[in-house]
Amino acid sequence: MAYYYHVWFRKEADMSKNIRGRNLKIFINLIVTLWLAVGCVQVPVQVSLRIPSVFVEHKIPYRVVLVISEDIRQHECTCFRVGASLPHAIYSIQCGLALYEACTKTMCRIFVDVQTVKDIKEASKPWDLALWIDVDKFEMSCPIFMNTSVCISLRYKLTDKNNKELFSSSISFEEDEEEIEYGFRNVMPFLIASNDSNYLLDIAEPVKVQTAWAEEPLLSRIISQVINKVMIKMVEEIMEVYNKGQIGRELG
Amino acid sequence: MFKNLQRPKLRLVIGIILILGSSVGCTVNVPVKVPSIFVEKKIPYRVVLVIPDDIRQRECKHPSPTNFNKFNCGSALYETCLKTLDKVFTDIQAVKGIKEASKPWDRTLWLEVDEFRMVDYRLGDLLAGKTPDFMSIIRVCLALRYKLTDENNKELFSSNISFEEKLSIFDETAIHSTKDPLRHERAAFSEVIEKAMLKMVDEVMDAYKKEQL
Repeated sequence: MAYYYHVWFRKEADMSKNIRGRNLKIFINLIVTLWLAVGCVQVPVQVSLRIPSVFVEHKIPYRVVLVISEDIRQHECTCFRVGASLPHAIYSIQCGLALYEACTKTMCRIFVDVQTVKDIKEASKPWDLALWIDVDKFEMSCPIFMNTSVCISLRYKLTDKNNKELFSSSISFEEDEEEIEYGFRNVMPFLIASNDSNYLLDIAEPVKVQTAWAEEPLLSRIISQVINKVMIKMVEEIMEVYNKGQIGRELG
Repeated sequence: MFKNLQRPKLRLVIGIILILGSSVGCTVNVPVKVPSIFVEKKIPYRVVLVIPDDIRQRECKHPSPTNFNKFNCGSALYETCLKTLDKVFTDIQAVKGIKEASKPWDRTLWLEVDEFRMVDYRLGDLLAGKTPDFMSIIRVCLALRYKLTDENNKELFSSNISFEEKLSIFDETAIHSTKDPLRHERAAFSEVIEKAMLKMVDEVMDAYKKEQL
């Protein structure tokens, strides 16, 4: 539908050289608004968790409290897409939860002991370091005729038992769908149904694609990959400061 | 038109088109995507990576009814493999045959590819006498074997890796052209190669930690 709208728009734009641009814009906006208002459905998308490949010879021998506030965990990235048929979809992607889980599991690979809390007061065990994560921005942009892009910006700091800051950094990534290596096109959420096909090219294993929103894996994958990059960057920085003795020296 | 043709004739026609198409098709680059990994300390071995020339020059044909492209999948696999293993081992030299190794080495990694191809189910639709839909389904399969041997060619570790990536896409190319209409396909190859590399690194690091190497 979006494609036909696109074609129609171009055709209209060509035809309307004699019409005032302003009137055309109003008319198109009116049509689009009416069309979009017809129906929308909220589609929750769970991000497939992908733990970054981190190979650490010796874990950092500190017990760490990872402080990620509740509002980060519950943060959702939304993405509105027009569909081939009604209703259109608003995707609610659980990006905060994915970030939280990826972060917890990644930190478990570099520190000997990690406890994750919403607030430092919740820490149930003694700790050597506290790692505070704050997310300033985690957004997904899904313009109709352009590529999907993801923007993430977070800050983190490592403090000791006395809340003295040992190290801090900020990481931001802004990536276009094409830059993310799995650069799918900005597809529309068409429904796939090809259950009964008998494909000659694959007689041994005929494909049975269940009816599903085609968009889900794309959105999930983009978020996963951005989180993955952030995690790798964070691990690199933390390991570097540890190897330089910045963390150990301060603690000692 | 196809509906009026008898199936054997249809297959013959499609076969001829495919042969002609594949003979004139252009070669498409597959982007090299080195996987994001963090290795604290590289494995302290000098490694010879043996990838035969037929793997490097391998081309995966895209049997689509609308275009006949060849993807340089072998070259992408070779490049990615070399750059990935460079993150894992202290020294890497890539050769086509072990006799080409110019420097001394501690370990040899032999790579063999059993399957690396792309299947486009729109062609299946055509052969089955159906009209291909806008939604196309593409599958990329990669199956490879590798082994690590020591200086005396004694096998230390070996493994098989296979991945299959299924893509469901909206076939924009059927309607109008874009700047890069083969974006999906190229990305699918990169994705499968990346997964295979990550798996290989996981296995090699695991074997090293268990002192199998």
